[in-house]
Order: sequence, then structure tokens, then C-alpha cells
Amino acid sequence: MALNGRKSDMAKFLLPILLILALPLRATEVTSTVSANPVGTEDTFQLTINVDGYDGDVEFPRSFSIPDFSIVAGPSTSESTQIINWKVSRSISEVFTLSPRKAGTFQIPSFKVQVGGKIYRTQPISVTVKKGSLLSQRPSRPRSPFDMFDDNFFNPPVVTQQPVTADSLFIRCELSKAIAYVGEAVEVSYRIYSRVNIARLGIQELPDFTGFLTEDLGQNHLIDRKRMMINGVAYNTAVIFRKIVFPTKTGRLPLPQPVFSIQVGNPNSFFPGQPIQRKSQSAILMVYPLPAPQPAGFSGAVGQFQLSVSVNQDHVKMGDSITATVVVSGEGDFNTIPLVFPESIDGFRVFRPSSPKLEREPANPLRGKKTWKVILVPQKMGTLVIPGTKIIFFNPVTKKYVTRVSGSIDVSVEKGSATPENILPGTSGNEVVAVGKDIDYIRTGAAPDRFVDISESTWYRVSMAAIPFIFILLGFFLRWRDPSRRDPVEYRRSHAAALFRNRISQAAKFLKKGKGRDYYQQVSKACISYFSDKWNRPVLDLKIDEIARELESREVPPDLIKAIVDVVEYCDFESYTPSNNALNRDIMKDAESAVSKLEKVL
Amino acid sequence: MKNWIVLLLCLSSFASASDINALYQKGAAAYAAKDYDKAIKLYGDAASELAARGEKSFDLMYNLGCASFRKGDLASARLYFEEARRIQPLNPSVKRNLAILRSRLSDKIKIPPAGAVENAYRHVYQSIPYPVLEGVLLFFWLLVFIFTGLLISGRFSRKPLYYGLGVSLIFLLMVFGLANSRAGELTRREAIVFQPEVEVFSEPSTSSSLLFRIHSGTLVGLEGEQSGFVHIILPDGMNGWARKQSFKAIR
Repeated sequence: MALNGRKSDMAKFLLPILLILALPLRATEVTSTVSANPVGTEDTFQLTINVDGYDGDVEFPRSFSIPDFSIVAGPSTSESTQIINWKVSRSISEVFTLSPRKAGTFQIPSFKVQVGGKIYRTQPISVTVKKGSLLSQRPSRPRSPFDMFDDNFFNPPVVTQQPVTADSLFIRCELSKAIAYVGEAVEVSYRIYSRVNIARLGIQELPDFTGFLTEDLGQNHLIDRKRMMINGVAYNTAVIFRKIVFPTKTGRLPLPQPVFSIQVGNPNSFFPGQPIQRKSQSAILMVYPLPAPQPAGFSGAVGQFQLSVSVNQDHVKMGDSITATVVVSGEGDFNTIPLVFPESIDGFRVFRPSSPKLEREPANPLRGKKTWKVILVPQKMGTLVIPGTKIIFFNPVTKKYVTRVSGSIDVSVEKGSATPENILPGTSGNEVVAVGKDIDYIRTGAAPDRFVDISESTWYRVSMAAIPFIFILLGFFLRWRDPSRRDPVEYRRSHAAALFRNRISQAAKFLKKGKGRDYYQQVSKACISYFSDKWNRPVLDLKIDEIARELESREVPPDLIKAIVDVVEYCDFESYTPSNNALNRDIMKDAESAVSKLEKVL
Repeated sequence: MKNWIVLLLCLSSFASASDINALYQKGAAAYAAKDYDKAIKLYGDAASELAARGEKSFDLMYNLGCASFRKGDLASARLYFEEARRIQPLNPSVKRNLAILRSRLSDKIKIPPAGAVENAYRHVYQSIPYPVLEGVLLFFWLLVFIFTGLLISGRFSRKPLYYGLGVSLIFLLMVFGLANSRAGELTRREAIVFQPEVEVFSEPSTSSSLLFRIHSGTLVGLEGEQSGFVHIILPDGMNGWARKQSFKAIR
């Protein structure tokens, strides 16, 4: 019992460990499968690359192509985790929707998938493709967004839904003609034939019309709805996509087979319909070359056209404008028809239009008309003639090149307010019109001009480099030769003002440091020293009273004497009884002003 | 003896100048007679004579361009017209002829438009002949040092000298800017494609990616050179490496 009890305890303990250890033991499996085999050329099917029991990162192949198949949708990724009997199983898959390009037996190649750093390969799949459509869509119960438990509670009544077979829903590519010439306009319509309800309809990707020039038509929604009988079976049909194409090469040109995504179901129902994809049936256009030789002036227009030229009035006054309307109507490629109107007409000034107007008939987009409006201003009086013009095109019905000619139009021009001189503003006579372009004539003369880059010459470089030093050296030489610098007394006298400014700048430093007493003493000293330098007398011998007397004797204006005396006395006073308020007076400026004026007098 | 040598030198110089003038006039006569090969030869000889003296001539380059154009050699015509445009950038005849020539080339390259200020500045320095700019630059350069020398001498009132120095410096900087921009145009590294088609690669090797192709007569900027390839840049910014022998540099 005790042993059994221990065994039971041990089992309880070991079971979770064994379970955990068992997890990574599940083998990783990488497979690829297709949803149908064989398939029809008008069908689409799913290719699924599935990884079961993986551990770590999974890297699916990226940007690959499968020969003989087009990838029309995908990849869509799905991931799932299951725990069954304590075993955890994780799987991930990528699903692509493929469409066969032609009938035959083709191979979907092996794919390389990296799982947890290890490379796995899928097996190649051989797919048989037969002409037409083989797949019958089984009714699968669409899942509602509210259907969390996958039960029937929220489901629409699928029992009433008909199975969507290849016969009950298909798309045909219809051409307005099966045989055409190069450049001839052909209408291509993709028409859906259906015996089931369609909730939504969309094109998977726009087709590539290789070998054709194309022109879009405005309405690419359900048009031309009608009920048609095929082999005694009634279908609801509608054109879902159409274009006008113009073949650019000869031979059997296949039209593209776009894939349409369709949701089958009641369009008024809340629940989404059954999604299916349908590829258009194939169609071939036989294209013949245009017969040779092509006539001169043929612009490549193929179709049946009429030409008309008219004017809005044939009696005008000089200077008034008239409008000539050129209309090319009919059926065919209007893009290749150029404006066939003379660039210049004798007696008229011609204003050519910027762009023509093309109108197509909604019921038959191959038919339409192209209109140009040309403004003409008569520049002389009398009966003026607008000459006739012509277009040349190839008629695919008669298989001949046709020339349509418009007749000439007479316009009677009377005298108006405008004269030939003032029709063109700011000119007298006709405007000069350039009729050709050519280069200007050569330059002639006795001798050619000469261009010399003087910066490359030696004298220029010497001038730039050496002459500046000569001026600097000359400056130093003049300074050295300055007689005033040799006689200290004379030097001090002539430079008294400069020496004063040096001393004042010293005072400014004291002011910055907030040394009020030193500041005033320095300003006072600078003033006294100025006179000492000027008159060559020792500073100690000079008192302000004596300076004032000396200045009086030299007939210096009294206000100037008062100014300098005031500065010195103020400084002397403040240097012994310093106060912060005194610093507010700009005594330095007063001193400089007084000395500057004295310098002119002394 | 020395006088004789000087006289001989002067005479030889005069004789050479008269040779250039004669070649120039004969070139014009050949052009008028529609003998464009002969005109190119005569104008080319005159241009070589001038080049040997370190000189260029707008008239000769322009006429060489016209003669090459008439001969149908658009690449050479472009080269000569571009060389003429370097000497006289605003000459209307060169502008017109280059516009007509460009319209006949197979490569249509869009030149990004410059701003109004840049255009105005360019017009200023292009409208002043380069030798004049160089002379004015030299004048203000010397003036600055004259004022500096006078200030150093200490013999004259300083105030007007300081003003003079300041004004001279301002003008010196202005003229230097204009002359420098003009010199940049004159020495810009550009070349003309002289082969019918030139492939341009991403690296200086034919094994690298082919970026684009350019054709005869296209103007390119030269950025660098490596192992027989030059790094070219087009006016619209496209760039790459192409074989050096496909181009002729504008001088």
C-alpha cells in the first residue's frame, strides 16, 4: 500500500514534467496542398503551405512566382493551437489563390520553409488544368461575425442557397469585332452570366492589355443588364468592365483574363454572401496589318469619319473675331486624328486651340466626335477665303484609304472701328512671325577679340602679394622717420590728446571695478597731465587755478576754461568725499569733450 | 645688341598677331563660301596660336561653334559654344545658338530653375568683364594696405584713415565675392559627350549597375576620376561613372 501510495505520488509529480518534456517531441511537418485537382482554366483554387507542430520562428518563402499559374490573391496567414489529451499542437499556414494560365499538366514546385532555424521542404504537386471551368462550388455555410461557437443559431438559411457551378456563374470577354486592323478601335466588354443572386462584385486586379493601346470608358459598373438565353437556359447578364482597345501589332492577340471576386447571396441580406472568384473566359482578336502603300499625309487613323468645317459668321467687321469649328465625327480611333486646319491663312490672324474636345456616344462608345475651335481675326477688308482642308484615314469596312475634303469658306470683311494698323495692339503693320529657326551668323572683323585672365599673370600675382608689404614697410619707415618721436618734449606736446585718452581709458577701468576714488583721481590726473604734456611742465607744478590763468592768458574762451576747471574740481571733491550718487555723472565724457575742444584752440 | 634683340622680339610678336588676324579673316571667307572644314581648320589654328600665349578669344570660339554646327558636328559645336559662353556668358548670339543646338540633341535635360536673387547676383558678376573685376579687386586690395600703412606711420589724423580703411574693406569683400563667383564659372569642371551613346554606371566599373545612358553633345559636370572612369553629374542631379575617353573637357 505504502509502495502503491509512493507510486501514485510519484506519478502525480512526474506527469506534468513528462507532459512538458513531451511537447517538443512532436515532429514538425511542412506540407503544401491544393484545394482542387484537376482544375479548369477559368477556375481559381487555393494553395496552402502548412506547418504543423512547430517550435520557434517560421519563415515562409517570400516573393516567389509559380510558372504557368498567376497568384491572384494572398498570402493569408492562419494560426491555430490545439490541446488534445494533454498534447499541445500548434500549426500555421499561408494560403494563396492561384489561377491557371493555360491548359495542361503543370507542377507547383517545392517550397522552402524555415522553422526554428531549420529548413524544411514541401513536396512538389502536379496539377492538371483543363479548358473551361471544372469546379462546382459547394455550398459552405458562411460564418457570421456573431457565430462564436460555430453553431447554427446565427446562420442565414443556407438550405435555400443554390450550389454555384461553373454553368451557373461565368464571365465572358466580348469583343465588338473578332477581326480588326492595326489601330482600329475595338470595344472589349466583360459580361457576367449568372443564375444565382450576387451580393457584391469586384475586380481582383486590373488586367494588363499587352499589345494594345487602351482608352478608359467612364462607366465601369453594372451596365447593359439584360436577360439572355444560352442553350435554352436563362441568365441574368450585365457588363461589368469595358474598355476601348487599339491593337498595336498584328496576329492573334489574346485579351487578358482578369479575375473577379464575387459574393453570392442576397444583396439585401445582413449576412455576407458566399465569396468565390471567377476568371473571365478567353478571347482572341485577329489583327491584320494596314495595306501598303500608305498615302502621304496618313496619320494612322482607322475607322469611318466625316469632316466638317464651319464658321459662326461669314460677314464680319475688321478686327472682330470669328470662330471656325472643325468637327471630325464617326467611328474609330479619334486619338490619331490631328487638327487639319491651316496654320496661317492670308488676311487672317490665326489663334490655334490648345486642346480638342472628344465626345463619345454613351450607347456606342466607338462612335463620337472630336471638335476644335479656331479663332480667326480678319486683318484686311474684302472677301477673304478660308481654304478647304482634308483628312485621310483607312476604312476597315471598304478596306480602302479614304480622303475627306471640306470646302473653302468665303468670309466678307467690312470696314469696322479697327484699322489694319490698330488690330494688333502696339504695332503698326503686321506682327513679325518667326517662320524658321537657325543659329546666328559668325562674328567678322579685322581681328578677333582677346581674353586674358590677368590673375594668371606674374605682375598681377606680384602686385597682390608684394605691394601690400611695401605699404606696410613704408608706414613703419614714416613712423621711424617721424621727427616728433625723436624729441620727447615735442612728442608729448603733439600727442597730448592721445596720451590723455590713454589715461582716461585707465579711469574707465576703475569705474568698471567700482573704485570711485581711484576713478576720480585718474580723471583729474588725466586732465592735469594733458596740460603738463602740452606746456612741458611738471605735473606737480600745475594747479587748476594756475591752469585757468594760463588758459585765460592764451585767450581760451571762458566757458571752455570753466568746463575744464569744473571737471577737475568736481573730481578732486569726489575723490575725498566719495558718494554713490556722484558716479551717475558722466565726468569722463565731460573731460573728453573739454579736452577735445581745447585741442583745437591750443 | 640688346636693343636689336628687343626690336626682334617686338617684330616677331607683331608678325604673330598679324598671322592670327589673317587666319581669322580667311576663316570668315571660308565660312561664307560654305567650306566649313577649312573654316574650322583656320579658326582652330588661330585659337591655338592664342592659347600658346595664354589668351583666348570669344570670336574664335563662337565662330568655331558656328562652323561645327553647320558641318553637323553638334558635339564640337556645343563644346565651342560653351567655351565662348565662359568668356561672355550674357552674349545673346551664344545663348540663341546654344538653345537651337540643344533642341537638336537627343538628351533633353531639365535644368532646375534658380531663384530671383541668385539670378540677379549672377547677372551682376556676368555683366562685368572678368579682367575689370580682377583690376578692381587689385585696386581695393592695395587701398586697404595704403590706409593701413598710413595708420602705422602715425603722421596723419586717424579718424579719416579708419573710415577709409573700413570702406575699402567693404568694397574689397564685395568685389572679391563677385570675382570669386566669376572665377568659379571660368574654371568649372565640365565636359561634352563626344560618343553617340555613353553608358553611365553606379561605380567606376562596367560590371556595376547601369544607371542611364547619355548621348553625343550632352553637357556634364565632372566630379572626380578613378581608374579610367570619370564621375559625372547632370544638371538635374543624376550622376554616375562613365568612361573618360567619351568626353572632352571645356577649357
